[in-house]
This record gives sequence, C-alpha cells and structure tokens, in this order.
Amino acid sequence: MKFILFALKNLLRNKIRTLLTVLSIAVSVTVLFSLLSFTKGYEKGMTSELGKMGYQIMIVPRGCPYEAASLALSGGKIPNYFDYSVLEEVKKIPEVEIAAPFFMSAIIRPDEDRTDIYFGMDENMFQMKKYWNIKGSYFKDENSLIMGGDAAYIEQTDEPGQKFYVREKDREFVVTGILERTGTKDDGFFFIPLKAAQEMFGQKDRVTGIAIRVKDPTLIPTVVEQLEKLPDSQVITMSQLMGTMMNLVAQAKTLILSIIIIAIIISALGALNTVLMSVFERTKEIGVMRAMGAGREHVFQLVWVETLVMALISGILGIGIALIGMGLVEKIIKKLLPLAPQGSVVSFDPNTLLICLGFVILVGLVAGIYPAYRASKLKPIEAIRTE
Amino acid sequence: MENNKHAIYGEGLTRIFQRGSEKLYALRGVDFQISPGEIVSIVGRSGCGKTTLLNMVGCLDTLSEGTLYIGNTEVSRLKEKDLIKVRRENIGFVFQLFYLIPTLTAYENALLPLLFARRLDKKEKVKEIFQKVGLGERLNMLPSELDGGDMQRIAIARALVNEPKIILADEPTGRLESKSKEKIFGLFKKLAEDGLAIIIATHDLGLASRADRMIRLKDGMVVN
Ligand SMILES: Nc1ncnc2c1ncn2[C@@H]1O[C@H](COP(=O)(O)OP(=O)(O)O)[C@@H](O)[C@H]1O
Ligand SMILES: [Mg+2]
Repeated sequence: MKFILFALKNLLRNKIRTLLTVLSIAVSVTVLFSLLSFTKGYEKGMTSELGKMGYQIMIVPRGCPYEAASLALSGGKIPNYFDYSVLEEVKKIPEVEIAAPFFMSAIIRPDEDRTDIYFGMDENMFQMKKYWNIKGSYFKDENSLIMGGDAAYIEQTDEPGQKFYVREKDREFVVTGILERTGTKDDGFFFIPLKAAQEMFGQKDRVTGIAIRVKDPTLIPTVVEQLEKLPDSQVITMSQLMGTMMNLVAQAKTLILSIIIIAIIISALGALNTVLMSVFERTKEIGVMRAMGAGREHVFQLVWVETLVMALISGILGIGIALIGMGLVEKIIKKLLPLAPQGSVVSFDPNTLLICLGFVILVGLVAGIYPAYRASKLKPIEAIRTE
Repeated sequence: MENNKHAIYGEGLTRIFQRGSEKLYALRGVDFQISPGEIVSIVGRSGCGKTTLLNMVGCLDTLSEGTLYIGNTEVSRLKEKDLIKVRRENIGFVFQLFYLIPTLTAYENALLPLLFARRLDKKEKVKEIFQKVGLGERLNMLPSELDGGDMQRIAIARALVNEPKIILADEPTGRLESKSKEKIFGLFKKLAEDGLAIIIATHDLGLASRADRMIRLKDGMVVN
C-alpha cells in the first residue's frame, strides 16, 4: 500500500464533500482549458485565413480601423470609394507586384434574413487567388458569376451554366464557376466582374479598395510608407489586421481569464476548507499515527498528497469535460464572435493541457500547505486525549 | 548510569501541565521500572495520571522533571525527532478505543507503522502476527465488519509490527465484554512470555491483579 492510496481512501470517506470540491475545481479548469484552446485556435484560424488572401496590403478609403478590418474579413458594404487615379498611383510603386482593384457591396434582404455580398474583381485579383479550385471556369464575359462554396450550397447550384437573377437590380448572371470550399470568407461571396459590379451598384469607374501583393515580404514597410502618402486612403497590412483582431480577442481573454483566476482561487479555498475539515475530523487518528511512529513530515505529506490527488482528479475531470465539450464551445464562440475565421477556432494543443495540469497541481500544492501544516502541528497527546 | 536490566527505568518522573495560571501535577515524582517479559498494571481513579505515565514512558510527551531510560537510551533530554525514532523502535501502543482507520482493511491498518518506518519490505510478517493475535485470515475485512475484541486484536497486531520491546496499553479492555477481555489479557500474557514488557493501565482491578505487579496511582503519585 502506498501513501497515495491511503490518501485516496481518505478522500473517499466523505464522498459528497470531496465530490463537490472536485467539481468546483473541475469547472474552473474546464473554462480555463476551453479559453486557452480557443485563443490558440483563433490565432491559427486567423493566420491561415490571412495567409490565404494572397496579398499583404490593402488600401481602402478612410474609415476607422475596425471597419476596415471587418471589411477585409467579413465583407460588407463600403460607403466610400476611390477612383482609378489611386490605382494608377499604386501601380507606379516599383515594389508592388500586383495591384488588384475590387468593388465590394451588399444586397440585404431583411425578409429572408440574408445579406448577399457581391465582390467585383478582375484578373489581377484572380492572380492572387491562385489557390482557388473552381469547378467550371473563370469569368467569360460581363455576365459571368462565380459562387463561393457556401453561397452555391444556399442557392442549390451545383453545376456551372445555371442562371442567377438579382431581382433588386434586375440583372441576370450566368454561373461560370463554383468554388470549392476554402475555409475563408470567400465561401460566402458572389464574385462578379469588376465592371459589372460597378455598373450594378451605380459607381462607374470607382473601387472600394485595392489589394496589393508586394514582390517580397521584406518590402512591405517600404510600400506601406509610400502608400500612406496617398490622399484619403487608409493602409491596412494583413499583419496589422491580425494584430487588431488579436487585440480585441486578447482584451476579452484578459477579462475572462481574471474571472477564471478568481473562480480558481475560490475553488482552491474550498479545497483548503475541505481538507482542513477532514484534518480536524481525524485529529485522533493523526495522533495515533504519530504514536505509531509517524513523524511530522509523514502527517504533512499525507495531507498534502490528499489535496494534490484531489486537485489532480479535478484537473483531469475538468480537461476531460472541456475536450468532450470542444465542439459546443466552438459553436457558441462562433455565434458570439463577429469576426470569427471560417475554420476551426478551438484547437487542441498539448501545451494547453500541460499548462492546465500544471496550474491545477499548483492549486493543490498551495491549498494543501496550510491544512498539512496544521495536521503536522497536532501534538499526539492532545490529539489522543479522550476527555 | 547504565540500564542493562530494565526495559524501562524511570526516576522522579514528573509532568506538570499549565492550567491557566495554575500548575497541575499530573505526575509527581514517580519511580517506575519494568523488565522484559514482565506485565505491570497501573490502577487508580480517573484523572490520577495513568495515561500521563504511559505517554511519558511511551515518549509521546516530554518530562517536566525526572530521568527516563528506554533500554539503554536516556530519553529524558531527547528532542522530538529522536523521540520518534525511539518510539518507532521500542514501543507499541494499544488504546481503549482502538483508533483504527475505518477506511483501511485490517491488514492495511496493521501495515501503517511499517509505512512510517519505511520498512514495507517486512510486510510478510503481518500475516504471521495476525495468526499470533488470533485474527487468522481476517486480513481484508474492514474494522466496522468486526467485533470489539477483533478490533483490539488488529490494534495489537499494529502495535507489534515494528517489533517493539514494550507494549503500552491504555485501558485496552475498557470497551470489551468479559469474554473478549479474557482473551485479550491472555494474548498479553503470551506476548510477555515472548519477552515483551507490557504495561496495562486499567480500571478493572480483577484484571490488574493478575499482572505480575500492580502499581496504584493517586493524584500523580504512587501509593502502596
Ligand atoms: N494535555 C493535558 N493538558 C492539561 N491537563 C492534562 C493533560 N493531560 C492530562 N491532564 C490532566 O492530568 C491529570 C491526569 O490525567 P490522565 O493521565 O489522563 O489521568 P488518567 O488516565 O488516570 O485518567 C488529569 O487531571 C488531567 O486533566
Ligand atoms: Mg486515561
């Protein structure tokens, strides 16, 4: 028989009390583990999404960074426009490899609770989307349309060649291609030729933004510097954008983390209380153990191990619950988060597991010290006294 | 001084407890010796100092005054840490209320002292001791499944595993019915024949008078 087994049996004495303590620690650990997994997954999702965009810089008409950011990631109606002169300026910058103008706008159908995003683009943008797998082909003429994977699913369009009618604008397109799902916002868009978009939304020769690919990523700062001289425009680099997103998430994370820390401290105090009570209940036993040759260190160790075992069980339980509930957390977060990347936002990471386990061990060690100390201080003769 | 003959040799044993501002003499200059193989009973009214005397000679507590030898070791001036060692090597305790750990089986209870002494290599001995104290094969039963007599046997087995030279029993039969009482006393007799020194504090004069020697305490002093 080992100390640890002895400790375990002690914990099983008051099963309800131990269970409640274990649950309270486990819940904190579940939340902690989920939060950490989410942040990791979110970072991964954002990085891969931004990586797939095929460009490193975008310029848009002046607006707040959040709006710009949301534009880049989620699409939407942009109220301000550039004309082509800006595009010419951008093309003059020697380090720019491709400058792709685009026109993005939305048609909202409140009755159907849907917003269709139309993304007008030309071959330059197509160049950047080299990773696209199109079933069918690129635009053939001004009436061509390419559907994102999800958009096609909603429209129940599975073969190119079908017609697509936009009733608000009385405009008919022919679907030339359907995108295989990319795991980005592209999946939800309707891609049409730039000219068609400008016409359809009545903004001839104007664009809502320009996506820029630089010849070499190290040149990004140089290009940004030159772009910033352009009037009424705002430069967004993808890394910046990611930074903004991550900042928003980080702020929320800090808040949630502080709540979790408080929850954990409370559950640690609960554990301390549970073990302390069980020490008091076992005063006589502890005295007898001392009489049988147990040193202070044995008693200390025993009580400490008990707390630690309890914390460990809680941690494993908490992480288990978090792992089982990962899918659910994913769904909830995606609902709450306005700018969630399309891919998974919750990811399992062994480091997160280690962090949570380490944390819970720390809680056990700290919460166990005081009760263990009290137990080890019990004087055998006082403990055993019957009157 | 040399103490070759006695398992315990104590002179002028005194223990003073502080009760508020008052001094309470639980033991007042008691001389006490016991030889290997001897059974000594300690009698006296409740509060006369029996338990205190057992605690003193059992090194559970430190003397206020006096000299005490356990075997050849003078323990009266030892520190707590060294007392634990002396206790572990020499003394087995048996209590009126058994004080078994309810979550552990009979066998595991008896094993505990070996765990503390880091001598789990000797655990085979536990079975032998179970035979000797008359528990036979009842190794895996929980204390709650046994009667008082058997619980006290487990406690005695537990006191024996570290191979002590002295058994200190504080009212060991106080909670037992007369048949069990007899058997437990018989067991002590047997252990004494094996050379253990046995001290039994008891209320039961009938039992006490069957010891080799009886010591009567009153207000912390020996009376004749
Ligand atoms: N730890 C203690 N603190 C204070 N007084 C004590 C303590 N232990 C025993 N006493 C007192 O010492 C006296 C002797 O007690 P004890 O040895 O337990 O007697 P007995 O075992 O013969 O009933 C009693 O008056 C008791 O109240
Ligand atoms: Mg007593």
